[in-house]
Amino acid sequence: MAELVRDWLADYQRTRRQPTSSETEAFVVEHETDPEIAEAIFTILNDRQRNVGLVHDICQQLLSFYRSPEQTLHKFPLQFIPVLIYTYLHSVAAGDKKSARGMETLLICIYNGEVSTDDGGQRVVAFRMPILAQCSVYHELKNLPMTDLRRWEENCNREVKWGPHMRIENISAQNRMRVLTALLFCYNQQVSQTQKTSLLHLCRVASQLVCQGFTTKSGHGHRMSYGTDPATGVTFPKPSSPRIPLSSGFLTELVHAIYFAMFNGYGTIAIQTMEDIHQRATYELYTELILVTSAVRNSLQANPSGQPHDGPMGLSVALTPATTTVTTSVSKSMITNASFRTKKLPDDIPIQVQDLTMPQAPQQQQLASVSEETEPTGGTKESPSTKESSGTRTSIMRPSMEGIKAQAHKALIAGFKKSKDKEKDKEPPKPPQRKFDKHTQRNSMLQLQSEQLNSSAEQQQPTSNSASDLLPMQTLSLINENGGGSNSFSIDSDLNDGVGGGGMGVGGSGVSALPTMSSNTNSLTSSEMLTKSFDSSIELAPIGHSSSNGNKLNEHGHGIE
Amino acid sequence: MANTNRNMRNNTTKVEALIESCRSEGKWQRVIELTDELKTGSPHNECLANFLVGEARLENYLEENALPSESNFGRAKSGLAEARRFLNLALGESGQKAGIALDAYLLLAKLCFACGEYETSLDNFVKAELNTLAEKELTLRSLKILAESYAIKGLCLEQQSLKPTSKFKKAEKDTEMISCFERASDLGLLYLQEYDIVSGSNNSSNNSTAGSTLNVNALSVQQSASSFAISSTIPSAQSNATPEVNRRMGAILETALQRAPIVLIKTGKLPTAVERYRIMLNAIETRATQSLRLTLARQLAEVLLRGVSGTVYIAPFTTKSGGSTLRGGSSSKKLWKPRKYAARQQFSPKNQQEEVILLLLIAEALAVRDTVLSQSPEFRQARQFAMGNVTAVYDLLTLATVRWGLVQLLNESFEKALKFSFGEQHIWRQYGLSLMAAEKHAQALRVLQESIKLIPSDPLPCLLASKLCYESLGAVKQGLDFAQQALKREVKGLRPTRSQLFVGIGHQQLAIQATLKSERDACHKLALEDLERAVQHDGNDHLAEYYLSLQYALLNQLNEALTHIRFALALRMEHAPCLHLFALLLTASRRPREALGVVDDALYEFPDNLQLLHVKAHLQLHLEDPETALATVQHMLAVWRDNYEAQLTAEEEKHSDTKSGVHLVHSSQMSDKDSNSVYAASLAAVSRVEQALSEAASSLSSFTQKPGPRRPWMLQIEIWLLLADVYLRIDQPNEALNCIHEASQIYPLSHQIMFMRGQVHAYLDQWVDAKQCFLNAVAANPNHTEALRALGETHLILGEPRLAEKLLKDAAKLDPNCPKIWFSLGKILQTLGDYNASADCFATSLQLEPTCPVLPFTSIPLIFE
Repeated sequence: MAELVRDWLADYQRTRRQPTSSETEAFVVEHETDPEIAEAIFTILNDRQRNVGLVHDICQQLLSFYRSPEQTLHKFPLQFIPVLIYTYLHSVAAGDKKSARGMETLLICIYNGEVSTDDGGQRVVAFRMPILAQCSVYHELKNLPMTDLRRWEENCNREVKWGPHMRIENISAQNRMRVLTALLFCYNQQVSQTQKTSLLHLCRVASQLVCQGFTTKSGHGHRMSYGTDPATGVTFPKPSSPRIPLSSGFLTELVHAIYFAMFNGYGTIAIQTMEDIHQRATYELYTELILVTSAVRNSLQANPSGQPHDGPMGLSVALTPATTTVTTSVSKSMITNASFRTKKLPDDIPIQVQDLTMPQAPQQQQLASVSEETEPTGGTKESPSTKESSGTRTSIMRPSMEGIKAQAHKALIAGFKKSKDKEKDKEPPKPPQRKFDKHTQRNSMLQLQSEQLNSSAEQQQPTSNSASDLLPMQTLSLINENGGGSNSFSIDSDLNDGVGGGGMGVGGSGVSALPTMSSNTNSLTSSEMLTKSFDSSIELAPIGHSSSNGNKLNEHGHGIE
Repeated sequence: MANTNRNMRNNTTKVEALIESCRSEGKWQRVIELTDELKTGSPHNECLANFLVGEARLENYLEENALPSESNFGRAKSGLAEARRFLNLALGESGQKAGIALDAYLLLAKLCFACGEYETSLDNFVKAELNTLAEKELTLRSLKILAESYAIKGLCLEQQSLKPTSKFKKAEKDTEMISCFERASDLGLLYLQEYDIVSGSNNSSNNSTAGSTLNVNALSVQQSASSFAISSTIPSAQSNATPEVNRRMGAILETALQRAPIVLIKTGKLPTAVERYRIMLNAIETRATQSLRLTLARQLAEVLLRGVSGTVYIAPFTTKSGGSTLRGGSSSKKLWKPRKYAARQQFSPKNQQEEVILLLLIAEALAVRDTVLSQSPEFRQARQFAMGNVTAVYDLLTLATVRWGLVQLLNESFEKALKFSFGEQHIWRQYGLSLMAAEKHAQALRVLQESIKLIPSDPLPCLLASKLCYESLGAVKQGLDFAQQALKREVKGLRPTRSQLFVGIGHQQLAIQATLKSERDACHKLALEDLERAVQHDGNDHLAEYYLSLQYALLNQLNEALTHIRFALALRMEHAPCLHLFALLLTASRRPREALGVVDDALYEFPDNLQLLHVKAHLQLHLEDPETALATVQHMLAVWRDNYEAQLTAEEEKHSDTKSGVHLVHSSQMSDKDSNSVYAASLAAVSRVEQALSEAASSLSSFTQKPGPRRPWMLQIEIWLLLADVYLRIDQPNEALNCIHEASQIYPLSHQIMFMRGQVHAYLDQWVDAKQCFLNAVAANPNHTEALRALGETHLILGEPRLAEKLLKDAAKLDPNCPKIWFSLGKILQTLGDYNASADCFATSLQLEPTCPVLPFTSIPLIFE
């Protein structure tokens, strides 16, 4: 192996001395067709203790390859990135940075090259966040549920970016992982162009990276001499293979590389490596990484996504389960997610209209019928307006959604603490009936409306359903915490203009009916809100509160002073 | 085939029209009945009748029995014998004349395929001259026959036992097979689209078939409930929608549709395969293709994630050729191609990420819709199938989004999934993790608790919950409980975990927080035991060594502490908190110069670490070098600006456009900064007070208009206060006041600001003002020992030694290891004339002084890496 590599080194040196380009071309062609040389380099790098000098030369040559204008030569070093990273990190962890200088230089150069564009700018990999609200080449709006369409609507054309990354001059402990993560990202971008055999080395090296220092106990044998005087300068022999510090982001990139290897010919070893990474992730408690590794592990266990061995890229024909006689009888009463929605939407209109005007008792019935879709009573209770507005189902859906939104806003402004959470969240974790009981006790119009919204405006549900029970101050902080909830405010802001005034009137009176302390703060807020324009309710919510309550604290603060 | 149709149209009898409509709707029993009528009506139609009976029997059989596999070919042969006979009868000369021979051959091929006679089947296709068919408009039934024929031919070619002899022949066969599958998928989709149109028009005229709701399962539910509400959805026939829809497609077509791209990948034509997926997904959906589209969208996403890396990606529909082997003349395109989505302003993915995420979002919407909510046992199979589909999509979505910091997106998906994920371990755990990653701590804890219940053997969620409690929620006791639970669940002998360490950390933190001496001692003892055990279990864990060292330091056993911190550093050389602790330990052994050296070296590796810079400044002050300290602090401000300003503006941007969780900074960059946590949060109790106050302030005070997360701003306050301290040392009280002013601009209620203001007043000999400030500080945080001490000293100067004594005794109780407190107490007792006690205090102070670090050991924040 060493011989092969030496020849390779010598060949290139000779080629470079030649002024004619034909020699270079010949070298390039020969190089491209020779699969053995990469294999030889991998072997040398894996066994670097015995070939220290050679490793240095290889690094230098790879560097000049990387700088070469020839595309094939330029790409050649990229396949070694994982193994180089491992070798480098291993040396660093063992405290032997000096021997890794050559490698460090090579990595820095590749990094600087990869984060720059050809014209010297900073490279940015960016993409637009796709949203379902805009129809695409793969879907139309009419055939997907409304709630799914609205998801991430505000993300329209938001750019998600990788980079820009600063070029660096040296690697320190602080930027090491960042640099290596970026390098691995670049490797991943090109991984399908590298030779397939390099994937095998990738898997091996990745396992070593994450497992080193975990498997053997030998590093600890000498450690029995606790309590010796440190001042005497007792040397601390280092464990032969120390653990390599790795960041969550780095390992996530590594998972992507391994995932690629898994479905491109190295299923078994890649699965093992993935297991190793998962172990490391759970040891370090890297949440994002555990998310990814458990997703991959689960997809390997669960059927639909397929195993690497199932077929090319784990793909196989997945027929819908035979709908023979068994299921036909069954599906009659089976409730699916869809059965909820298709039924629910039209039902919402009359309820929403009524709940502002009707007394309490009938509402309760209505609520019950909303929550239990399958009961025929739900159908009979439908008001005439639904029937009249028939046509196609989709055409109903739209106005009804608008209607809900408009109604939602009236109640929303009144009891907007609650609706903040509600707008954001989707799934009702508990039946609405219970909530109804709760708010009948409270006996206030305001609560009624907002609760009503809870159960009827579909899927919009508070997760922190105790909001109304909190003291004013706690509620405030709750609002701040759930900043995410404000999303939907901006969506609806166009509706506010029309409905806002009337709705707030209702809200104000409802609030003042509440005898508790919290009513004070609430009414204050809503009157605050009346005066302000409704351009952005996100900003408004905290401001309204802070300015009304802030005075109090300011006084308090002065008191302390 | 077309001739057939024409012939039939020529002598349009009522019966024939009826038969044709029954054929297209797949009512085979009725076809057989009608054929009898036909035969009796006009005997010369016998050939046609034979064909129809054969067809009906074949289809009937295939419908009642799933597509035969190798095991039951025999049964299929006998079951289909009758049908074969009839079809063979239709083949004769009269069949040729009647123009039904072609169809008969195709159906025979299908029959042979069902019996496993692949070669015969292929022969029949040759007889039918399938390859030479011209593209024409076809009736619905013919369209289906043709689509299936291509599909069957492809499948037969794939199954063919005869291996091609040469490479060339193999390539030729592959090409033919692929072209068959491609044609089959195009025609199949076209057929389904046509079917929808036809049945749709039927609907409006006579309400005969099921309505237009998207989900077929839903229909059955509705029938009873809202049968009169919306006219278009009324199914008059009792036939259930599900099998009816599936009958339209059938297993053969479905297989062919999914098989086409897989075959392409197998033959190494990845880009063509991707293009095939895209063409199929680009075709307008039909009622029958819902689940197929889900599968295809997921599979395309899988292909893109698994086989296409960024640089080789080609955006969809950019090249017109597409590599399809079948694209002939322009006229053919219209007739035998499915209709495509064509809306204005379509979103068309331009790169891999866009396409993958778009596909997964669509797949998610489709998969979620079909999830089964019923929990009763008879639906278990259906529920698990739907659940499997949806988790597969979630897993891919996780893979595709986390890398880009889009945890928020994931978070919402899982939240939605809870509705149908009762008892699903995987979903709950992933949801908890995503909440943690999105830094929704309190909610994450709740979900993790659920996850702990669902997976009784897994220590991981316990450990996560424990970390969450320690790190973000300040609930040490609860965290300790979780850690102990994790320890119990642990399987010994496998890989090391940190459960034991986490138990130790919990006890250590409890000890730090405890105010009662007995409680504190007990916790210290437990912590020491736990940490010793943790080190024994996992000797290579630098973190365990670090905490053990810290534990010894807290117990004032500095030699042991030094030993262990060196072990920790041997295990991980470049670990900022270890170096930090090491420096403090050196100062506690009266080696401040060495400590400064360590900090300088550490700063070479971690140039932006504010913690280390903070220690450095203090060390410089300690070494009576305030000028350099000033430079250090100024550098700190610069570092703060470089690191956090961009982050804060990014946050601000994020907040003003709706919060979305789209990270503008790469996650690895974030983690660097996050290691600089607020070092003011030394005592956990203190930090809780501070947190409460600042929460109050953030909602109440008009000052907190500072955008973004609180932590960077708290850091800035710290830096300003440190700077004020430095200015006092170099006798510039006005500058110090300016610094305090800056700090209070950010957040006025910090007890540290009040304390520092008091210090300035004390420096200026304004004792009454100083007293007020110290009182404020103590009021805000009664455990702030420095403020207590300063207040006591102020009382002493103002001639109130009794009050001073009380305060200093309180302080000494809180922090018995501080020599300064004992010294002040000694002075006060001296004033009071209690010389014995005073001497004791001075002695204690002297004893403690050499082992007192420049900053308390607890000033190092809690770390977990």
